Amino acid sequence: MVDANKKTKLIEVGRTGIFLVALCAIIALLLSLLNIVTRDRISENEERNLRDAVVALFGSENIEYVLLEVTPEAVDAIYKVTEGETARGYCVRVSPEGFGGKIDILVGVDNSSSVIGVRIISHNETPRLGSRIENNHFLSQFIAITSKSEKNIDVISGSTVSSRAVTEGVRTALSALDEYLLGGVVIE
Amino acid sequence: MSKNNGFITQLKNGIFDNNPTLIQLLGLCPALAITTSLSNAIGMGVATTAVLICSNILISLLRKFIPSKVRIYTFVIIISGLVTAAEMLMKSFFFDLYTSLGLFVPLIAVNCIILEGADSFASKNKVITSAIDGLSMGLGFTVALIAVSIIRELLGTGTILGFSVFGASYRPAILFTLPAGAFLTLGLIAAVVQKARYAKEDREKSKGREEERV
Repeated sequence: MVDANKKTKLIEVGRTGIFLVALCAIIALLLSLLNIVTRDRISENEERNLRDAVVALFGSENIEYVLLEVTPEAVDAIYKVTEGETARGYCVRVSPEGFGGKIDILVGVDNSSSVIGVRIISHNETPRLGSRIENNHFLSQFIAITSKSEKNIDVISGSTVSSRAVTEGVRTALSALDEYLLGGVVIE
Repeated sequence: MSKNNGFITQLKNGIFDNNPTLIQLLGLCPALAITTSLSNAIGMGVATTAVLICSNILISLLRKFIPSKVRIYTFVIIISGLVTAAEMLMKSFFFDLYTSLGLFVPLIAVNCIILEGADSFASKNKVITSAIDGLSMGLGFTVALIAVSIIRELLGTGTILGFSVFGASYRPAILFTLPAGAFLTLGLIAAVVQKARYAKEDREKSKGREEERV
């Protein structure tokens, strides 16, 4: 009697389990199909977004940028920026850990290794609080600093973690670029 | 004819009589957070409505197969799958909107309007009525978002859809772009809606009394 009860219970648990696994599998399959369809468009959009950021940093439509083949470990990417034949500087992409995940930052640096601007490409910070790191009066503080300058960057009150993350990101970017320019790159 | 009437009643129910945001006070997190501009509100409303309709249809289709013990898990799996799909589609077709809504797109998955619709309506009703319920609840949510965002954008930044309304001399009341302004605006709108509802009820009651007397 007890055994029979146990058996029906087991069957029920098994059925429920199979149902959930099957449901998850079907949804995962459909999502991966959708991913194949949308992948190209998404990367195209992201590429355009990056280009817009670089154009805004260097203030010129005619700039070109190439990804450097060797990237220091601490940063995501370094792009060498040129306009026609002349070298304009570098863009360093870093993604420090913010309050709500990684903050994707592009740091524009001129030929003398000082910052010409900082752009936030994407972030998941709290809207209205951490998201204020996108404000110009915060980001403009970074202009003209170099890896050697000891200028203090004011954090935004209420957004301490996010603003510190950006500051840290810019510092990392500058020292990684220094490292690269001095030729002492750690190749991974 | 009766079917048509049912459709209109259901729509009216979602938008006015039983508005998910202004009457039931569900889904307040996005309603308070993203209503700083009208374009955000429209984008969020449309995205939520689309997810709501699809989840209601799917759950209604599956309602005979979903084991009741794990029904909430099932709803959450289906809803989060749909939201992931919506996120991918938004990233590929409305990239600017996606960047401005940011974190709130994945958070559609935990909007309680959707889970509530799934549990109390779609799992008990036929596919078409469930779809209409999704549409009407989604529209109700969108209407509420639009109402809040118009007031907040107009007073907080002096613009509508990015176009300046009051001219350059207007000094915006920054309070309205902050969270406190969101609560104030939503609270006032909800109060006005309640007042209108009670006024209507009173009218109907006094009408009934007069008829009795006659």
